[in-house]
Amino acid sequence: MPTSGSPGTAWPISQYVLKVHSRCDLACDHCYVYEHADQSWRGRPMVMDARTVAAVAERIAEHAATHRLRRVSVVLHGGEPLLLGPDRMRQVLAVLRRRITPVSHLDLLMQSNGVRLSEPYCDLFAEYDVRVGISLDGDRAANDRHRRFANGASSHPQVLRGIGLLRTPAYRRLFAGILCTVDVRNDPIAVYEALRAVRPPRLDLLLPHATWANPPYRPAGRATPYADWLLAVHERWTADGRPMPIRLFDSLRSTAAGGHSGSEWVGLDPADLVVVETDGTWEQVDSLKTAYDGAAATGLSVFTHTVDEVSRLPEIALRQTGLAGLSAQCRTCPVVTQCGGGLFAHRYRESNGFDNPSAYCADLKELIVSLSARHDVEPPVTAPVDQDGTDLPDGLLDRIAAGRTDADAVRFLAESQLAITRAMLVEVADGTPVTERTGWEALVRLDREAPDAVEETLRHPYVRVWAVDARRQLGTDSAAAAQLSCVAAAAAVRAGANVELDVPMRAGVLHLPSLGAVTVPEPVTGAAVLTVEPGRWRLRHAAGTTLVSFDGDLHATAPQVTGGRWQANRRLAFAGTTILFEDLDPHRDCHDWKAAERPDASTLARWGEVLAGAWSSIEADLPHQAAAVRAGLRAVVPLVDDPTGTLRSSTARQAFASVGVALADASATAVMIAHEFQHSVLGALLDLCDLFAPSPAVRLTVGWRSDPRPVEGVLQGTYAHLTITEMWRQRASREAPGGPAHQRHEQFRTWTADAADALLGSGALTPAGNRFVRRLAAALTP
Amino acid sequence: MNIAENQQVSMTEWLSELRRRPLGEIPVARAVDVTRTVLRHRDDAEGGVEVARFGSVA
Repeated sequence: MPTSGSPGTAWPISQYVLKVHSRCDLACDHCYVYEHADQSWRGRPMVMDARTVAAVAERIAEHAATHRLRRVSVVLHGGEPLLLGPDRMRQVLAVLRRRITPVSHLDLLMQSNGVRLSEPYCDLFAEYDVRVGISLDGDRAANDRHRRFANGASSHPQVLRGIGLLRTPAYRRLFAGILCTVDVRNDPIAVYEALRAVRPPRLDLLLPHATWANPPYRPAGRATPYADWLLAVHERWTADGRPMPIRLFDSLRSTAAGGHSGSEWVGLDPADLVVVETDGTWEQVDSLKTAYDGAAATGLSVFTHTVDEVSRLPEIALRQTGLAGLSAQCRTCPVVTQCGGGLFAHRYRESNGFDNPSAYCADLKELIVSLSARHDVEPPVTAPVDQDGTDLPDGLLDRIAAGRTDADAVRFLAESQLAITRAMLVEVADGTPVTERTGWEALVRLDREAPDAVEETLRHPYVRVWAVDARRQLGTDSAAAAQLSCVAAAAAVRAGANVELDVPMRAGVLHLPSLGAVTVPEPVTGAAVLTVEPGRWRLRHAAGTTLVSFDGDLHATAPQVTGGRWQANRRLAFAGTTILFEDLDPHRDCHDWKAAERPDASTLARWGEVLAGAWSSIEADLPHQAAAVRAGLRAVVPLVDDPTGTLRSSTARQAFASVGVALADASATAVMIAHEFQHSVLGALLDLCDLFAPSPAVRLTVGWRSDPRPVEGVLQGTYAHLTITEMWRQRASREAPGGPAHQRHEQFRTWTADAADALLGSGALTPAGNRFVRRLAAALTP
Repeated sequence: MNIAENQQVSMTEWLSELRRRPLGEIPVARAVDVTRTVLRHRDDAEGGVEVARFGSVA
């Protein structure tokens, strides 16, 4: 079976750590940058200059474009990145956003000690959408053990002040989480309680860097002190109802079920990360600095080498190979799929490099075995998951698999999706403080009195996107569920009902999902009170009162607005009716390409022509699926154009029946809509039925990508290409033999058939998946 | 079928029940189970969706 990681191949790299400042205002004695084996920081420039930033941005954008990466993460790191100062920081962020965002969705993050975090910095990060992680080792005693200023003074008060800023409503969304380095001399419960108290959206517990050459500190007589420490935290965290995600525990729980670890600390996920130092040199993951002087060096520079050249290095490629890249001892270990050999840097021994288990091997094994025993007694997921397709309506699996999804099949999936959204709302509401449930109470009442209005609102694809986010933030962000009030308000408007709700405003905008947005004159962020009555609303906010009144149907008449303006969601002609052109909902920006801002009138008119033409093309080229598209597709989200003119489309996993598309001609748009709608259909089916077993170590080679892909990705791609194959077959039937449509049909048919073969040979498909792919493959030859 | 009383129903039956029940009467434990089941492999999954190389071949 093909796997990734063969030396000499260029692998996509999606994560970049930029050392924008090489010095730090703290003098933590456990820091791998300054206190461990590698001392290369001494010879580096203090600051990454503008020329280097521009070169980095260029290399990343070029690589993202070449590999068509939908998402790229850039982490600003140091040293301490805040030492840059706000002006230099703005320049760095502007260059990265300007160059990379048009090519790929750019996640900007920063890891900081938090000491210099200020309101001007937070405003800057809000402007550039930078999420900030803070390093904090626990309570004051724990934090003071290592994290001190050079004069020995505690940094704890300053760090808590910085975290306090990130917890204010205006900046809460910037807070990425806390990174805590474990020290077994600290009380695990005191550390946990202190970290929980600041309500981080995520907590990382990291083992202190150590190797076989420089082993971890172990108190006398204790074989697995780190496992013991972490298990104590796990016990308290579980007893607390897991108030925030703890990545290490979540990773081990996921890998125990055969899933991804989502982390380089455990599991077999590929580590597609590189570092850029302040002088522009490419380096491997910087934890290697703990091993030996120069361990992370590559000898390559952003000024002379592309990311592809970096990714071809054998030591980078090795990190993509999963099980094959581990030591012989690890490969035969019963917990290897969960442990993954631990952090690569921790495997170092002077005699044989990294071909060893982790220096924390005993602790990791004890932790995994003990957690597995605990998980065994925890309540399992009780909803049964169909692996045979037998719980689905008769013939549904076969029809969908063969690309013959009809309107009834789509309606069945849509009803299932609506039920799932309702379940998510119940969970979010249950996790909301009783004092903040006015939105939920209104929604429950409306569900009894005007169920059609609630149903229509909940079918909006981005309600579920919000609910999934809110669910993740329960217990850490009390504002996460506030959007429930907006959902209730939208349902009340549809129902013509009376409600008064506390609603959240962000930067002067109140968004009502599926309806539109009220913008007030001041950029108010925080709570407001919305009073909805039939035909009029009153919004009382920090900057005054906004009144909206309309006659009967909100969409049929332009409302009268005082103290603000109303932007209605717009609909465009499609499939003999209209479709929502979603360019307002803030949750629409969950696609891997950036969502476009609201287009002007002439661009909207162009969109109208394109969508009308695309529907004609779908009717002509996919006659047996057109009815399904008409019945199922609810929204089109315009995406930012690709700067090179390449076609661009996207499906967001949680947004059923919505597709993201960048503006193109009608024929290409038809192909993109059909392609993305297939993803949406298959995603909804996967909610109900397991077609494959999670197998993170399995990667399959497909014709349409250069890099081996995970099973779900290949299944999704294969299914989408089934429909594209059919479209080109229909188009080819209308042109002379040998024309371009014939060539494209043959190309897609070959790709799809080969990918189906790879899936069938992967050993990862369930009985239902096997049947699905066989039907799919058979449908390639009508 | 009442999902609050029957542990052996299928996922599709669970969803059908959730669809019919008023929001305020959906048992929280069942809602949590459904959510957790639906998101079972996907909370941190990547690579769910493939990119067609429209620019070069379509």
